Parts: sequence; C-alpha cells; structure tokens
Amino acid sequence: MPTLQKLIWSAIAVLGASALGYIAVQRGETINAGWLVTAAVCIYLIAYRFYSKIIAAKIFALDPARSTPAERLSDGRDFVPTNKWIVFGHHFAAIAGPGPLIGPTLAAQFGYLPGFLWIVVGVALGGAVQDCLILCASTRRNGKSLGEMAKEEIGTVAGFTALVAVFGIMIILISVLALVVTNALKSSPWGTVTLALTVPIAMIMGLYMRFVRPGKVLETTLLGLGMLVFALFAGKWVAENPALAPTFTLTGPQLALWIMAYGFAASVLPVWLLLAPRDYLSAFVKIGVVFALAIGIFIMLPTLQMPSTTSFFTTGDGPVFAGKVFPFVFITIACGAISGFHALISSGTTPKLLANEVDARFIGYGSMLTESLVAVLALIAACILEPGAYFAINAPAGLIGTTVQSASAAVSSWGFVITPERLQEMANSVQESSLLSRTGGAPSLAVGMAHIFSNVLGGPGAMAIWYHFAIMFEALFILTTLDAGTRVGRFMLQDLGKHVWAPFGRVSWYPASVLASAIVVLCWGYFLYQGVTDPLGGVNTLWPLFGISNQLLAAIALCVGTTVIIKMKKQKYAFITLLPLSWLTIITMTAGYQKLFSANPKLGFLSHARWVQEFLDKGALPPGVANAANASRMIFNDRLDAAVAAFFLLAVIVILTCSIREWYAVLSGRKPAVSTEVPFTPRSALAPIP
Amino acid sequence: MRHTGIVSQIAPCAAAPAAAQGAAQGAAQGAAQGAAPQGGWLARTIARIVPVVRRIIGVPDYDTYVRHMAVRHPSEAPLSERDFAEERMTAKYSKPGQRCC
Repeated sequence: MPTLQKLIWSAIAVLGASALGYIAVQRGETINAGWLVTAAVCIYLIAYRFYSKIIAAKIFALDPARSTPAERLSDGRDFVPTNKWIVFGHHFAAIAGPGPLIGPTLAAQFGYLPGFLWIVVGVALGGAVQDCLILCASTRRNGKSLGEMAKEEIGTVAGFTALVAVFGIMIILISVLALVVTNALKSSPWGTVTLALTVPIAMIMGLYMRFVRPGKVLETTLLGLGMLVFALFAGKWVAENPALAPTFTLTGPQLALWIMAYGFAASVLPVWLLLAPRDYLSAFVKIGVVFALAIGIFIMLPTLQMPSTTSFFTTGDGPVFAGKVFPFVFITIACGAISGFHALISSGTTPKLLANEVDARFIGYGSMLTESLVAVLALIAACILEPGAYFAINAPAGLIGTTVQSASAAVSSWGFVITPERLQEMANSVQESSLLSRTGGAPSLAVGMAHIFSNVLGGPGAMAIWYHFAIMFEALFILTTLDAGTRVGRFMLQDLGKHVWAPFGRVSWYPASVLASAIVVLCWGYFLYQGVTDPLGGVNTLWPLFGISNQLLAAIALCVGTTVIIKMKKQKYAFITLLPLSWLTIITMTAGYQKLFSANPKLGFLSHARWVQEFLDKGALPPGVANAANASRMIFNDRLDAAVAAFFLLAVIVILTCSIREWYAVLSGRKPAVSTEVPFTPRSALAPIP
Repeated sequence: MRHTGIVSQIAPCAAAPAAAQGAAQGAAQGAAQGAAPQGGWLARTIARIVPVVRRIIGVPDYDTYVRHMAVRHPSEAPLSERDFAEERMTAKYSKPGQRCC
C-alpha cells in the first residue's frame, strides 16, 4: 500500500476511533447525532476496504478476466450485463425496505447504544459478509437461487427446509408489516385517505402506461408523484371536514380487512394495472426519502434525547417488546445489521446482471453497508424524540391506558417524565386525535422525520404535513412489500401444491390463482388479525417471530456460504462465515427458547396461554379481554405462535446438522472437496455482445 | 458530480455494442442510449440520466433486448415492446428475489 493511502486509512481509523471514544465517554449526557454518523461511516469504510477484501481476494479471488453469467447466458431478459452503478442502485432498492426503519426504532427502547453497536458491528462482520458471499457464490453458479444452492451444496433435506422456511418467513413478514400499517392508520382519517388514494393513483398510472403513453415509465412516475402530493392534501381536507372525517376514521380490525382485500386484489389482478406502477412509484419515493433523511440529518445535526441505555436493558420488561437486551436487540434489528432475506436478492436478480464479477464486492458488501447507514439514520430519527413521547407512542394500551393522563402517569413512572399537556400538544401538532399506543415503530419514526424535515423546510407549522408525508412514504413501501410478497407467495404455494393436485399449479388458470391467493392472504391475515385484536399490541408477539425467522434464513445462507468455502478448500478463511453463524445460532436459539418457555407471561407464549387459562378457570377474564371466546382464541393463538417459533428453531437445527455433517465429510476426506462452480471461461473468449 | 460519474461509467456500456453492431443498432432504434442526445446542457443531461434511473427502479430494458435478439437470434422476430414489458413484469412478480423487507 502506498504511503499516502496508509496515511488516509490511518486518519479514517483515528477519526472513527475518536468518534466511538466520544460516544463511550458521553454516556449519561445527550449526544449529537453527528458522532454516531461519523463513527458508523468510518467503520463502514474500514470494513469495506479491509474485511471485504478477504471475500473478494482470498476466498473467491474475483477475477476481471472471468466471464459472468450475464455474459455467458445473455438473453436480453434476466441475464443482461449491466453497469455496476445501476446494479448497485437496483440491488439497494430491492434490499432496503421498511425493515431497517422499523427494527432500529423498536430497539430504541434499550437506548441508542445497543442498537447502534449491533447495527455497525453486525453489518461489518455479518450482514454485508452474507450478502457479498452469496452474491459471489451465485454468480459463480450461473445465478442459482439460495434454495437450489442449499440443495446442491448441503443436501435435499436442507434444500427443502430452506424452501418451506422461505414461505413461512414471507407469511410472518407480511403480517407484521401489515400490522405496522394498521397501527399507523387506525383512527387517522388523514393517513387512511392518503394511503387509500395511492391505489387508484397506481391504477391510473398503470392504465396511462398501457394505453396512453406505453413505455413512458418516468413520465408516468412523475405524474404519480404529483398525484401523491394531491393525495396528501386531500387527506388533510377530509380530516378537517366534519362530515367526511368519521367515514374514514377506521378501527384496527376494519383496516386489517381492507388491507387483506388489497393484498388479494394485487395478487389476482394483472401486474401492469397495480403492482408494477406501485413498485416504480415506491422505488422512486424510497430512494428520494432516504437521501432527504440523510441530508436533513447532516444539515440539522440533531441532539439525541434518548439515553444511551435505559433500565429495560437488564430488566427485560420493556413496553415496546418484552425481553432483555440479550438476545432481543439482535432479534429486533435484523435488516440493517444482518438480514437473511437479502440472500434471496443476492441469489435472485443481481447475480444475473453483473458485467464483471469483481463488482460483486461493491454491490454485495457496499449496498448492505448503505442499508446499515439507513438503519443508523432511522435510529437517530427515533432517538431525537423526547423519551417520554417515544414510549407513549410505542407502548400498548394495555400498559398505558387510553388517555393522556394515564399515559403520562405510566410513562413517567418508568422514569421518562412527560406531562399530559405535552402529549396532547404533540398529537395536535401533527393533526392526529391521539398518538398514544401507535405501536409498530412507523408513527414514532414519522414524528422524528417530521421533526427533521420541518426543521429544514417549513418550520414547526409544517410538522403535520411532514408527519403525514412520512406515514404515507412508510405505508407506501410497506404495501409494496406486502402486495409483491402475496403474489410471490401465491406462486410458491401453487408450485408446492401441484405435487398434491396438478391443476392447482397452473398459474394462468384463474380458479387456481384465486384459490392460492386466498390461502396466502388468509395465512398472513390470520396473524394480522390476531395482532390487531391483541391487548398487548401484537408487535410484541409478531416482530420477534419475524426477527427469528429472518435470522434463520441468514443462518441458512451462512451455512451455504461455509459449505462453499470448505469445498473450495479455503477452510482457513471459513471464520468469516462461522463467526456470524455461531452468533446467529446463539441468539436465535436463546430468543426462540425464551419465547417458547419463559415463565414470564409477557415473554413466553406458553406461559401466556397458561396465564389466560388461569383467569378462565377462576371464571374471570384477563385485563383488556372482552369475553371468554376471545380469551380462548388468545390461548389458541399463543399455542400457534409457539408452534411457529418451534418450527423456525427446528429448521435451524436441521440445517446446521446437515451442514456440519457435510463439512465433516469433506474435511475428513470421506467426500472429495469438489467445487460446483462453473469452470473458468475467459471474458475475451466471448464477443462483448448484449 | 455524482450523476456525471454514473453517466460516464455507463456510456461505454451502451456504446460498445452499438459500435460493434452498427447495423443491428440501427434496427433496434436504440435512440435513448445509443445516439448522442441533442439540445442544451439540461436536455442532454436529462436524456443521459433517464435510462439510468429507469433501470435502477427496475424498468425492463427493451432496447437491450432488441439488440440482443438482432445479434444472437436474427431469424426470430422480437416481442413487441408491450409484450416484452408484460412478459418481464409477470416473471418479476412470480419468484422470490425481487423485494425484501
């Protein structure tokens, strides 16, 4: 390394270490967000320059002279050699969804420090490693999917487990995201009208692109953006209209049913009408808002109000979700630190686009670092709220009641003093009747974002419009994950179901697609409805299940990665996957065990079922439950959730056992170490044609 | 600054096949990417950025497809732009690996 480079990297290291050191000594006092951003960016730069090099240079020895699948299998459709900046943008837009915004917001109940450290350390040693490694492995295997690689590298059992796990994760993911939207929109006519209008807006865009200006996507998307602004003000107008507002003031269960109807429609309607235009709009808005948030934080450099750690750190009875910092901060923040879902993208579209395999490092490792930065920004946006307000928004009604007085008393008793007047004033400033118990993270993040945006543009008077803009933005791309996920789930189900009844697999046969869509919607709809009617808010139950399932998928990806490394005879570098894999195994097993068997009814599913049963046995009802039928359904739901958690844990054990057996067979020489990579073909051997 | 970086990177990507396959390029009518944009600075910049943004948000690239068909499968008629877009969209939303949490 030349001296100048050495100097620059030493300076980055010193700057990062100083920022981290400052964060360490500032505990107990407020801190400026700039320190967190500086420390994070320095760690990312160093991790990218030095740690990702192990994957690129030592393990895969990425070679610019080697042909890529995009070049060899070029078909103008899936396999298209593409410029690395475009692939980076496309890959980033695909991996970054609502996850990195919601997880850090929820984890802020432990204070900013645990979440921050896990996001930056987790991404450098875990998340980015996984994304980059799977991208490299898939690129070297003609763009094979994670499931196919699991089957080929580890065995049929692992491959099948991965397939079923992916379906299970989709269901849990969609239900928890739908719950977040429901909680953000209930009793909010402004938010409901704005979001409801995005559906006809997408349809107008779809019709326009098909019949008026075919192929003019950007023109149509700009038109759509204009209509979104209109929808935002239409929502305000309806909310201020005493005749119309009650019609659009919906309860949680009503909204849940509407969202289910929407998911079903998106799955059976032609894609050009609803799904595709929404997707373009959402990708556009997503990248725009992420940039705006970053710029807003850099301009404002806000001070964090949340302490570095709260008492819930060790007591484990936090109001947002139950459980101690270990293992639950690592479960709550998946996207942004390590997210197994990314392995599906890294073995999906992206490997088929690489023009040069060397780009895999920049795209795989680099875009995950970018997502991690988004997670840090979300954490900052949540932590600039006064802690009392944060907890009043994120604690369920079962704990803080439904009036500002009861909420103020409850939150203040936890040590975060806030007056009832302040809570009401906050709700007024964003033109909502109440912000209490809007669990799920989206509303508190929206308040934080509105704070930042109005500080830069519009002043305090613009809080309400920015708040509803932020809610619309979050809901817009949550629904994009939801509708695309439902449709993909439908195809996966039809693919699995055709082994039972062949006609079910015919994707263009309308009865089969309607039936499969209905089954998928009912699966996630059940969990959604269960969450909406849960007196503890549902997020407490569903978000940890989602976190466990996402980390399970990461464990599968890292098992595949380790097997690939060992079969390449690069086992001395296997630490790069074994390190995050062992950590994930520890945290998923501990969290899963606690969710199943903890004696604390707030934490353990089975003890919660027993707790409700004890009330019923005494002829009484648990607090917040209306009748005995509801209580019986709660018991059933607890057992169902326990079964889902048990399934995920079992899947981790199956995959690990199969993998370890395979590693042992190869390392002990009983099985030859044969890599399944496509053999080297030089790039120059093929003409650079499209 | 950032945009010019992206555009200068992409230029050879689109231009190289155009130079190698001049005739095919003509048939493909790949005006959006192949031909030098006319007009003032703003118009040219927009004309360069548009294809980049389109592909980042995931719009299927019809020009590349037509070029591919002209070079690799000259005897087959390519799909029309609408059929191509429909085929790509249907494929996109039928398997995991497109959208994440």
